[in-house]
Amino acid sequence: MDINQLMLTLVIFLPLLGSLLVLFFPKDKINWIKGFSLAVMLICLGIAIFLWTQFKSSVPGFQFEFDFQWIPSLGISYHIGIDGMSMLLVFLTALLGVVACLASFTVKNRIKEYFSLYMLLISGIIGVFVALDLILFYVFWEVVLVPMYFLIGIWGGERKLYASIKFFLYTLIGSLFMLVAILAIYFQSGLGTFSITELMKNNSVFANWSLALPMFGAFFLAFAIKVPSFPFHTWLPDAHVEAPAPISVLLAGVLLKMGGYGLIRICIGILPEASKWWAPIIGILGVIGIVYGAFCSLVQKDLKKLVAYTSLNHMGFVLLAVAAYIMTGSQAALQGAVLVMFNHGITTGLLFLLVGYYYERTHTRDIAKLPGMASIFPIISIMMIIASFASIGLPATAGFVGEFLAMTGAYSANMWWALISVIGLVVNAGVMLWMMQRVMFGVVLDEHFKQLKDATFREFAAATPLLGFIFFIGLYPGPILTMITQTVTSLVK
Amino acid sequence: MNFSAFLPETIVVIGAMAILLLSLLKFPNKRFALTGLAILTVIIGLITVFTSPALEHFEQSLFLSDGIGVYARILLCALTVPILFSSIDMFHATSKRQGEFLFLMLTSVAGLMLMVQSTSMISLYIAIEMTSIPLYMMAGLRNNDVFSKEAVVKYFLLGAFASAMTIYGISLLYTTTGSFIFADMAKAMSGAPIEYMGLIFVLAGLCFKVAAVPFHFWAPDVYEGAPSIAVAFISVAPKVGALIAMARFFSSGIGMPMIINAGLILSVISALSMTVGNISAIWQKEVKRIMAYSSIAQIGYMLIAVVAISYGAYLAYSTGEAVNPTGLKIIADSYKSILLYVTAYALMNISAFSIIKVVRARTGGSTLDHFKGLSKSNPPLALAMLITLVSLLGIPFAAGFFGKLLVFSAGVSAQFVWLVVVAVVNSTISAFYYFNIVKAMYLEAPDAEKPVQNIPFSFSAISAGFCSLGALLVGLIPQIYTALEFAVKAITGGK
Repeated sequence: MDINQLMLTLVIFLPLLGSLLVLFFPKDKINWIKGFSLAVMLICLGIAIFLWTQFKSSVPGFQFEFDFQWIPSLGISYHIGIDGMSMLLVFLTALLGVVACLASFTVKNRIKEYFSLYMLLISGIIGVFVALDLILFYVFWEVVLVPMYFLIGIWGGERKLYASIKFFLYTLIGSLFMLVAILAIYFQSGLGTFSITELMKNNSVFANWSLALPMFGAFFLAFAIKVPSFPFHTWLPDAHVEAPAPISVLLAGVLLKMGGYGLIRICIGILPEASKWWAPIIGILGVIGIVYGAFCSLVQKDLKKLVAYTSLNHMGFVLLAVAAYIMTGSQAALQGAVLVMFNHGITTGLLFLLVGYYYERTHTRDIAKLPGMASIFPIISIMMIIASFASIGLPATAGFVGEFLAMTGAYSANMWWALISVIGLVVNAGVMLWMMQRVMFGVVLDEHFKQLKDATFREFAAATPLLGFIFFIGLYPGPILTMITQTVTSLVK
Repeated sequence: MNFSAFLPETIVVIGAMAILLLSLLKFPNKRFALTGLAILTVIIGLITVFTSPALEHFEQSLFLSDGIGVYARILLCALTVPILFSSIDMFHATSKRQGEFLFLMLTSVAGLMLMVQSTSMISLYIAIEMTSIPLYMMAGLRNNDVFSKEAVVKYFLLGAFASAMTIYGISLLYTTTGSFIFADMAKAMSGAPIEYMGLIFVLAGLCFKVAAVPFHFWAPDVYEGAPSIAVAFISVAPKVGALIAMARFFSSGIGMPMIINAGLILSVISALSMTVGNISAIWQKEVKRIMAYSSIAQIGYMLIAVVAISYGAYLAYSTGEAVNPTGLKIIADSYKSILLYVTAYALMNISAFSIIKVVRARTGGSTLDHFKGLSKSNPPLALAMLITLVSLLGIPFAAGFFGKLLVFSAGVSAQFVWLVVVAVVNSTISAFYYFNIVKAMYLEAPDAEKPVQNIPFSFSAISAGFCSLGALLVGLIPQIYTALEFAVKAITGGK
């Protein structure tokens, strides 16, 4: 195990260790608990940056691979490694991990349990992105579930009990179907291994398999629920609205990416033949998501719900681009899919963070009660405006590059998909502009709001890195695209 | 005749009788001394399992003490220890019932140890009776309680009926095959209708013992009426025995011409058990009843592996003289999955019922309302229950996950994908009621009308802690897979 492999293992298990250690802190030392958790998340981010510097964008395939026999008699191993796509998502998780940790400092009750579950959640998410063994992937996928249930269920809003169990059941049914598909693939391959890389190399054995289509469907169900794709999205608005703000950031920022990641890594990687049959369905679901998500967010009265539905719109682009990639093999489409995922993590993460800032001050998310925010909280509102423009996909912001690539790919796959998606794009722009008009400007309705303070240094510090990335990717997407290209070439092979 | 192979069973029976006699005397710390003796008995029994010779086909194939038998007997002895430990809480210092209770439990364990080695209808039937009769009495231990009375009457009458069915089935099979020994019966079978009937009757009797649908009606009432610690035993130990008996039955190739059909019947029973168990559990408010329906569902999952064995046996023996190695591999893998699953299941159920026992002692009941706010009033107990429930649901890293993983993969390898899909949908349904308990413990405030009485010390809580810790760790310990390999190596003819 060299230093890079060690670091990759560490970035998964450090938060897990932190989540156990924090339980031993005395209950009343609130600042210690917060400081310790932040330190753990900062070290994680540090490791992610270190890995990025060590990562060679020019080399295709997986890097820092480490394979250790876990349960040899079952062919299960602790097999980890990253390529460009996972590198980006690990970095995104570590970054949002710090941001959301800073935002979590306002949590009032059961602080120790909160941060313990929070770090467990981060550990599971990072594990999903680096696992190269199907069972290990499944294990991490499920590990995410339980802390999320509690984080929504204990610290959530009014309908938290309903939202948390709904999230749990939706995700569980998808993941259990995935388990069936994993087992079927294991027995069909006859290789006696769950290794994703081995199965990708030998994916020709699944070409004429009678169960390939239903098994792709089982995987797709799990990932479509997580993405979420229409018609499996109904857990998302509930979970987002009820979750505490930092958890919404993680939910939108990285949890949804698990679905897109799995679709590209496992569905396309292992079952490329079956994916050709499924591509039109994925594409159509993507288009529906884009248009339907935009129209849904148009009518929302709740600011958080509005942002939640834009996720449906943006993640629709991921599905659309993936479908386009399967049908045409276009590199731009896959680059677009990965970049949209990364951008959506940054921009929507930021939007949820800022909505949370508003809510903590005004204790309302009702758009009708919020006019005039720009006059009371200029700093938060400027950040909100930038994030909204990035969400629209204005050139020079992150949103533009990804959606442009996705649309290019979609156009070459099916012209109508691209044309219909434009409706969603336009409506989404309208949604954000109208939202800004109603929330930022106008006359403040509640006199009490005028005494409230603008962003504190901590809140500003949490938002800054995300703002930086919005402009960085918008103006200079080169390094990140190179990183994705390498993934693309290794998949196309 | 070499009786040394039965040393473990003999020790357990002698221990049981000694306890019964000692319980008539009066001496200080009797409560602890009797339980201590019982625990000592099963531990010595467990150790002698290792030392007793492994006899192949003892006395005209009545018993077979192979690796599976060894593993199952060790498991049976080991799982009795935490139950015995918890049972100290059940009795006052002067209770007259304790001796009887320990005697009954140990006799039942001895019967089960024979059941898992039976390779003939006669030995199987005797073992079933030796196991069941003590169980009926254990269910009715609180004979001043109306629920307990109902439970014991129901359990006894239905149990007697099931035994009658079993023996009727055995006699039908005997008319055509002329033998009681599994291996000989398998060879002599022709596929006559009377054999179908016999097979179905024997299966029905065994399904009653494991409380599979449609033979499950006794379970919720017995679980609710019987003392919690007795239920911990009733819900676990007989299932270990009957499941392995069923597996042996099929893996020997009984019902050979129509074994595929027998497997199909069993797969329907398995699907029904999961579905009926899980859906009935959703509406329950009493946690003991939830656990009863949960056990019915759990046995449905385990039966998938038995179905897989029937398919493996079909593959293995349908080719004539030469035995098909693929079939044997499926049989061996399915046995492994059964053994791992029952190990996990034993830990989970003992932990759950021990916790129910503590909650009943603290709050006077065990409905969902009594579990409200447990995470605040007793965090370790709530955590143990959380681990248990997560394990029952089959979420990593808990033992239940590895159990489900192996059972599902046995099902998929035997081409029963539809059955595994049914199991998967059912697992999701089960999340709903398992997490109802979690919700009560963690997300809801304590019920003000149900005052909590703090108990200074509880043996049940300690064994719940051990079992839940075991449920967390057992799937992660690589040695357990080595033990499973050892248990099944005779099947595939490995060294």
